[in-house]
Amino acid sequence: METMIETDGLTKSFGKENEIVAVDSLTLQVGAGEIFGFVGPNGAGKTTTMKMLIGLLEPSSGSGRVAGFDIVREVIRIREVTGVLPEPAGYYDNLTARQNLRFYGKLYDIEEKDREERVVELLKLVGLGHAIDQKIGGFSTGMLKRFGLAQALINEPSILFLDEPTSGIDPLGAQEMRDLVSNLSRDRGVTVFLSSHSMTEVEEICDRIGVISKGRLIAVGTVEELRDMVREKEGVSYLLEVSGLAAKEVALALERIGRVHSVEVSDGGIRLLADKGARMEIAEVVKRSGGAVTRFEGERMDLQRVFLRLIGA
Amino acid sequence: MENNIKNVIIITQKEFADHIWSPRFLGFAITFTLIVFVFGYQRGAEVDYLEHLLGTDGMLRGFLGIAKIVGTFAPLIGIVLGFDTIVREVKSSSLNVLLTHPMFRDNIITGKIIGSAICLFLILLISITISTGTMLTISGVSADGEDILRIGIFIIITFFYALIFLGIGVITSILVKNSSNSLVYNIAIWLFFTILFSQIILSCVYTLTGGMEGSIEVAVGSGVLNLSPGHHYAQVAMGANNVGWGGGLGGDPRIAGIFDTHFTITQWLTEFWMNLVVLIVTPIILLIAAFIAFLRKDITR
Amino acid sequence: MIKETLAVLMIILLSAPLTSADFAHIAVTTDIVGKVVRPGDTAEFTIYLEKGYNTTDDVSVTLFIDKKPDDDWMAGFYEDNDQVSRITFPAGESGKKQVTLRVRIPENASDGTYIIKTGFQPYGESVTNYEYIYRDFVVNVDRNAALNLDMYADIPGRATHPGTPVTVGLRIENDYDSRTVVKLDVISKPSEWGVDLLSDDGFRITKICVPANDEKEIDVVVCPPINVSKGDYTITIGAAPETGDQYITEDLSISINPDIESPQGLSTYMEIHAPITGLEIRPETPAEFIVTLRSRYDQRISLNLKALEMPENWNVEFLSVEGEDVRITTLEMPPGGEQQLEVRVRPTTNASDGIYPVIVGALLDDGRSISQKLEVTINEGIENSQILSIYPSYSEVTLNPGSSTEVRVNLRNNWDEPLSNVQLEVQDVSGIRTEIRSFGTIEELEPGESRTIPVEITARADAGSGVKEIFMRARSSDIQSEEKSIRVDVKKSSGSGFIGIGLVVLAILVLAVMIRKFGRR
Repeated sequence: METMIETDGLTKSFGKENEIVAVDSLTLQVGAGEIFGFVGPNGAGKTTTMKMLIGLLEPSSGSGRVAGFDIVREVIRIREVTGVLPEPAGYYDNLTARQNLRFYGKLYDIEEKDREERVVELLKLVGLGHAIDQKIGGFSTGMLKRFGLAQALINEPSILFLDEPTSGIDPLGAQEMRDLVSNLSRDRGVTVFLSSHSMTEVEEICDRIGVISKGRLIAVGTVEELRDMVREKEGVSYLLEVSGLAAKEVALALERIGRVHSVEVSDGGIRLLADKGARMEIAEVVKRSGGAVTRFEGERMDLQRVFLRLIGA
Repeated sequence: MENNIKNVIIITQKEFADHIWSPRFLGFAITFTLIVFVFGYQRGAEVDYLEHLLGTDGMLRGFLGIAKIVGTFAPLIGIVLGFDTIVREVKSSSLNVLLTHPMFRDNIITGKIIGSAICLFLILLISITISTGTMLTISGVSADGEDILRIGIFIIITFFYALIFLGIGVITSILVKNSSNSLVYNIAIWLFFTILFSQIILSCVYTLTGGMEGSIEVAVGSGVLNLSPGHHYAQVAMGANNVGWGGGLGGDPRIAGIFDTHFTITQWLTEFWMNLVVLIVTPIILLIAAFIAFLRKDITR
Repeated sequence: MIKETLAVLMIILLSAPLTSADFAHIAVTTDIVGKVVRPGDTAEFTIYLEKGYNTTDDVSVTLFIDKKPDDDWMAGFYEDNDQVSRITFPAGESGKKQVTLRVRIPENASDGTYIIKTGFQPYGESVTNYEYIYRDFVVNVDRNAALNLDMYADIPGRATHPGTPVTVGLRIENDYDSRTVVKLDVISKPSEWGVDLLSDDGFRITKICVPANDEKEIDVVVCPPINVSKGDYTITIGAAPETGDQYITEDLSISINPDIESPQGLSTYMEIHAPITGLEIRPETPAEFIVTLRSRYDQRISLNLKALEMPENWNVEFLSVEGEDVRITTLEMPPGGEQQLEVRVRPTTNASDGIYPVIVGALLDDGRSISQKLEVTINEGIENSQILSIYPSYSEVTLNPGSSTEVRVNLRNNWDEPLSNVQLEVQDVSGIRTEIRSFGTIEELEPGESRTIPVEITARADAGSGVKEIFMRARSSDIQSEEKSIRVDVKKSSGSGFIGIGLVVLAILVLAVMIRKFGRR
């Protein structure tokens, strides 16, 4: 798979003596057509990373390439093939949606006729077909976000950078926004680099997620990979129901297994926290103790918890 | 490079269009045109006004009369055009979006300055041309090519003078946090340079010399007045020995500015080239300063 | 009783204006109403028109020919040689006017009596009586009527040497009431004799015009051949009206006698001549003539210079033309010499307007003389303005409101004495401002000297269109020049109007283009 975004030890520090490190040795790759979620708490360095990737900030060290262009030397080339929805984003209140979009369109080499068509097409695409000739000043936050997306798509980019695309809008609007992004990726093969402070926001549409905290990339992978990562680190919690054997006995037997961290007997069964690979061994122990496992399921970890775990909260 | 020029043109065009459709600005421009016309016509019709002082013919005499009013108001146009150029965009985060497109910061500031400057020039050109034309049509006074040329030169001088205030406005708009602050600072600067400065200088000189005769001459001689752009403008437009606005006429000027038809344009140029250079160089320096300030500005918020 | 008295009074009052209206407004009187004429002649009758004494308003009278023998006859009324058909007597003046009825009799009119009926009709505001007044004039055409011309010689008989020409003065008298052109012919003369008819200025003449009831003199120069024998010869000169062929004749008798001493006068040997014989002057200024004396004597002669005739108390001086202001009373003329003199005629300062003859002469001791007639016209009217004259460089200028132009006014002293404190006075007119661009007055203007003063004329910007006239005159103490004027045509410059409209249109166009081109979003 072709790599659309890649960074190598990308670092940005501020301050007189570079004492504030916003992004620390970030190395990642995003493949073509992928929806990459870039998740981290506020101030983790998401926006800074994005600004470096689109050439608004120069990295203190390290390098990066977007669509094959160097993020320091070929900024304009990058901007020509990328679409960005920054946060915060503002437009020209005194102009209509059409006039605003037309203005951004002029910044690219698009024939006037094509541009006019594309402006309408994009506004319809993002669901603003009814507000083409309304002034932006009267738009709601959700409409503004949609417009921002349209604005980012004006040059038919191959890569989209979306900074907090759903922040500040209602759940329904957020869902529509996510569907839009997802469709774009699917229909047009657009690579999406999407930042958010909430894992649940991105889980649904992202192929892969990178988690950033305090400037460092903590984890990268699919949602399951991230879960596994947490599981590997912290063990998996299971719910075990055994027949033919008292729960307490089972518990005692299990406590002896080194890879089982904790056992807790409750009304519904035995809850235990064990290493990810300890499942077979547990089943074996139960069997050997003369019990039969009637239910043995690993608890599905809440993504928010995964995220919190990952960032070490 | 080609792309840069294209971008500058797009920004220029947008800035220009924003100005000419802005009700605030339109209102100001129409008021200004009316002021120019009313004063020009009134002064032009007063034949005996300054008749023995100046040999200029009717129409140009009218212009001499309006030079003062234009000198006071033209800076306001510059300020209105400039004071929120950048701060408005920063505040609304539209700059944030704009910069994600293939566009350098220098393109933006250049385009904005050029757009505002064109608008400024247009407003001066249109207001003064319409006034001139109407005056000519109504009164039937004669005008030859040289008169028109002098009016043209006057428009250009006034443009540069107003450009100084545009530059100040743009710089302020880069440095301050919001538009209203910018406006307040600019009005203060305008008041200071167009009205207070010469008065303060005169008061100082008057006090220092113990109120002797010729305080004005001392003030002029001291060169302190050279710090005021209004002084330079007054010199080229109305003649030597004018101590800016509010200072009154400091005796008979040797050449009463661009409208003194007793002297050729070359003579005028010879007399005032220093002031002219100051008038042209100052806005350029200010605009370059605005440019640098914008490039250095931290917009990573 | 009272009622009746009032009624009578009323009637009297009402009838008063009516009775006065019955008075004639015009009286027409004549003296001679009948004349004997020849076909082709013009008969003239004098008619006097008089306004009624009790008429104070102005009254006009229309004159017309009511009847004449036939269309070939021409008749008309003349006043001072101008044909008139209507005469007005101004209000407030009682007056008498004289008109002449001229009747031209056709060439083919047969002898007989003819009547010309003339009519006069008064009219005017106050005239209530429009009745015609008629006067008849009788013309008796008679082909055999004597010509009203007379011709006689001053000296009909003269003696001379063979070969020596003699001049005989011949007077032609016109007794007609109209001027008559008289043709002159030499009807008979001895063969080989030369006879010339000369006017008093020396030209040969064939016709001469003689005013009505006047006479003209011509010279008949008779030149007998050198070889003519002694005896009396007759030369007949004929005169006839231009249109007729009936001549009157005059015989001149020339006796040729080789023995007599030739009676030559001074004029044969001396000549006096002035190229300019008439000058118009003001009473205080002298008239200066140049007179040339030429001698054909072969010996020196001494001449006394004298004014033979001049108005009382006038002064005539003879001066050398060499420039020295020396009076000459006697002159020695070398043989065949020629001498130019200046004759300065000083009239009395109180001389009234008119033409005055001055005859200057050169006299020999024996009393013979030659003379030259000079004419001095005194005209008080021309005198003042011509001492000091002004000439503006333009008499009309066109200005746009607010613009100005410079007019140069030339001041000239035409007097023979310097003028002091000469200044130009310009009268201001509303809307126009004039400025004399020189310093005060001219202290002294020498005779013949002229000075140019620039005057700036400015039309005020609020001056309305139209022609205004600026009057100016020069003044030196009590002497004023005549008044000259400059017409200032203030025209709103249509050119600048066009420029103005052009500028406005241009500005709007620029604005429109800028907004269209760059104002779109």
